[in-house]
Amino acid sequence: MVCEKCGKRPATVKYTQIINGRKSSLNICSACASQESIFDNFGSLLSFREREEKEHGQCPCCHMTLSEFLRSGRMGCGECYSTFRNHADAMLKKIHGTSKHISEDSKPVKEEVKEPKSEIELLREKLANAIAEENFEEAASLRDIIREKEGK
Amino acid sequence: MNKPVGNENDIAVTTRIRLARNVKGLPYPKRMGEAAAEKLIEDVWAAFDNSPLKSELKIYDMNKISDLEKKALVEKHLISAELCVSKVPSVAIISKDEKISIMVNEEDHIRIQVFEQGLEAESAYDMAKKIETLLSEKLRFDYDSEFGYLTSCPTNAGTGLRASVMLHLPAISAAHRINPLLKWAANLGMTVRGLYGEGSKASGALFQLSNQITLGTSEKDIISRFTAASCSLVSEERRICAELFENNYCELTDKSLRSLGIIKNAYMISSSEALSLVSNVCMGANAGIIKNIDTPKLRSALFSSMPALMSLTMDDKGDKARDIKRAQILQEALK
Ligand SMILES: [Zn+2]
Ligand SMILES: [Zn+2]
Repeated sequence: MVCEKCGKRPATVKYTQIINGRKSSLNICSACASQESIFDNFGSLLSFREREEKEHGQCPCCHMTLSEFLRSGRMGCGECYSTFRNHADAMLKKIHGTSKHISEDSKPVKEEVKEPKSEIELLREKLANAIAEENFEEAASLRDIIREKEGK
Repeated sequence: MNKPVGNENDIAVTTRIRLARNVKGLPYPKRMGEAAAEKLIEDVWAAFDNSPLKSELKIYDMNKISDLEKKALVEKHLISAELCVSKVPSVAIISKDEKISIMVNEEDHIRIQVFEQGLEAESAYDMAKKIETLLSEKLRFDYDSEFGYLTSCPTNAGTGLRASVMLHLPAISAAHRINPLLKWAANLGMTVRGLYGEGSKASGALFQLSNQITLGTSEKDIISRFTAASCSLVSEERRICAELFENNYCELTDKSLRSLGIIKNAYMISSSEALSLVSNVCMGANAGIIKNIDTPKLRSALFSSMPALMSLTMDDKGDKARDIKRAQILQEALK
């Protein structure tokens, strides 16, 4: 299912709101979910962190869960290698004796040109980290800065 | 005596190089949607648009070709059985000379395979890299700076490169020296497995040697280590063959000539009998007893007359027509 908010990324979070006693839910991606929730209050900051934790147990791209991956020993997509990075690393070491690829003659011909991250994106990353570390004072001030930058 | 001509084709039957590659941002075939699978097939095929290779290639759609055609492709080792049962649309793009076979939507999105007669890992690898480059102009392969190329199964990650060679080792099998070789191969990061049956129970003395490790070494290193290991096995086979004939000259000479006689004169030959007869004849040729026969030709006749791997495990004695045909095919190869 595609995110009902941005329509781009796959939906991984079911976001439920209760407005005037009516419950409405939205299936959205993790990126949109973080924007939806974090601007409310500390309570939702915490629930955001919980969701993040939940997501680390499931690949956001192919929805493979950690237990499925461990059971089958197979990845569901390339993103699984990042989602389950520690497990993937250990598995590769067990199979190949190392997890460090020698790229000398084994890499894409064209180097990827990475677009530099925008200021807002960097701030959002900081915010996510602050929440993860339960540093709510910093999170709140970062939240205010982001709001200001977005002109809200 | 049949002197090997560089590529050791008196013992090495075929070399296969395989490169596994996946496209960034797309779940692997087991988890991808039908539309994405079809789009990928289109993209892979379109990558050959401006290449002179295109006129040499033919696309085999697994949803369109018959079961018989699929079976024939599996028997020739051009495609895997897994490709035939893929959950999403899957194809094989195969060259007319059957030296190239690209599987799309097997376990990984793309598996480039190049085949050569004898032991020819380097030239096959060069060709596989050419195809990889061509495809990478159209597709973005999933690559991680630490783990290298990412694959569905972590056993293929890193380079995604698997080199294998089919070796005919009748002397090593007859001398029961396969088991120590399995250990030796494992120490070198290689595996040896019986092609028809496993371990020491392998019939027909056909074995496949391949690299086990795909990550942490350069591609060139994989190819050169693989070639070195293959060469040691080839010279071990020659050494043991000479040793066996030295110790049992009369028995083995009789056995190989007798086997040649059966192939030449039999009306029906079963697949298991064919495997052992051809082994005996090849041993005789390697020992210099049987002259003027083309062993690579005899072996390829043997493979072309083999039933599918699956039915090999079953008893196929009932199939008289096939046994008659097999005798004719083998006799033709000796002419
Ligand atoms: Zn979204
Ligand atoms: Zn995944």
